[in-house]
Amino acid sequence: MSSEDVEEARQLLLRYAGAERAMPTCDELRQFLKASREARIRNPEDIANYGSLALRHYKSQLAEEELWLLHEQVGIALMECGALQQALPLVKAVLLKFPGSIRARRLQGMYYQAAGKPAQAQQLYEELLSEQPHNDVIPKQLVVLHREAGALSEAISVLVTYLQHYSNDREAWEELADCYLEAGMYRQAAFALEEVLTMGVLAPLTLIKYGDTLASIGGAAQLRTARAYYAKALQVSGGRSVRALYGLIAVANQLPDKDAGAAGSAAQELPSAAAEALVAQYSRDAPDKLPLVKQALARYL
Amino acid sequence: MSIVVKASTYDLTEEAYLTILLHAAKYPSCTVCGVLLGKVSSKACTATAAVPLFHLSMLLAPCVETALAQVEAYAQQQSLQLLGYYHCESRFDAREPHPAGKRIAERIADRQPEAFMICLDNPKLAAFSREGSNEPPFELLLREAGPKGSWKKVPAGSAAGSLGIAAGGGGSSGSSWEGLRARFLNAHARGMHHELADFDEHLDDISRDYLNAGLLGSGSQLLLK
Repeated sequence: MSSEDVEEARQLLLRYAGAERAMPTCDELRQFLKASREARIRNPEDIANYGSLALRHYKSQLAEEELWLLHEQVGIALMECGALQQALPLVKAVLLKFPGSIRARRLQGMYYQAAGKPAQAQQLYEELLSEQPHNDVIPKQLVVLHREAGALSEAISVLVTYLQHYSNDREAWEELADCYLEAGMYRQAAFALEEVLTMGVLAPLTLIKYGDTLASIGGAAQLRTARAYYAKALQVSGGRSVRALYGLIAVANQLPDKDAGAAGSAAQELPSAAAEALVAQYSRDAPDKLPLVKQALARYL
Repeated sequence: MSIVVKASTYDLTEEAYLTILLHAAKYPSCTVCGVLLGKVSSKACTATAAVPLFHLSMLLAPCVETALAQVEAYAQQQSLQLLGYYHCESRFDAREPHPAGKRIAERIADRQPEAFMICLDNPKLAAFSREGSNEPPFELLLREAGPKGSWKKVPAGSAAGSLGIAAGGGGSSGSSWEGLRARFLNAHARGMHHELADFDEHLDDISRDYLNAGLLGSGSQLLLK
């Protein structure tokens, strides 16, 4: 399920907005909630609203597994919206139904976090980890907890330990890179992103983020490498990625002419080509911004 | 606190304040930031528009450079000044804006010495939203004099500067913090925060208008000539 599927399902539900007594059907609600779960879309307001509707009016029509997935999904969404009073019965119901489950107790920990009780949450997570030292979900919850408290070095420490056992967890490496970026540790962030890049799947956004990170470090060598990654992202995205195009411009702005490349080389022509490509896209998709873009890129047009 | 004698009144229109609030409301789990455009006089800095920039890419220099270049072009074309920076930390308990935010504010202050920073205080914002307080959730930060002066919070009522609400282009009568809150809660209930676009979104889809023309009714301030 993609985010397009989620949006399609959401649009179906929007038709009911404002209608006094009409209510979405069970299937329409289930479709939206299921698509959101699978595409892992984070939209707490809609999920809390529509999910609560489903649980209140259509509980009997839900299959057993789906019912409890919804409890978790809606509980989390309610917590994200700060609706703790409404979340609590859902959390309690899950704990009652699945007493020994780590997943259920993780939900309890999230409730503690949402209620502003990080110490209790931390104690619970650490208890769970001592029961299951190689659990792959609880360390991530601890990372969230530490980041919420602004304890970046603790968050990093938990992630580094986790990644020693789960070195193929792409998401965890990206989370680590984000922690390093937030801590201003750009070189370490670059190393973390390199781990993701060595896994082979060349997602344009990761290539670009790596380029952005190197360009943030600065220096001719980093800038030239960043340029190569923006170029690769551009290639992978069929020449369309706006972030990559702007990245090439940004690098060209920073590189002294002597480092830009030999006269007439591809490297030297990249920023002009990027500027032209941006102008073409803006002409088509955002013509109101064209005067701004032309002024900002005047040097290369 | 030695601050070079500057404008002591820092006013934003309701539209500018609303833009900031809606940007923060759209991305509650992210640190969000943007810039302020308006006019500087000897007595007052008046921001007539807030331009939402980032909720993801604030820490990445190329993204910041790209955004600032475009916003500077816009300011020039509209005969406005880039005169401020706004920031809202994702962490509820954050006491200070992230250093990267201060760096962006510095870039703006280097070109515009009167530039100021406005931060959303999360606990105050929670109280403000729940109608538990009439205290505005915004804090003013000014740069200390001297090279690499740091940004310091200016307490409410200080002679160094105060935040106010400027009369808007829409001619809204009797602007007050209560009025702003009512307008914000109304806009949020209507889902306007979902319609707001920032520069990060623009980079992913250039049809997303980070200038948010027409979003807030009296969009005349935000439309390109």
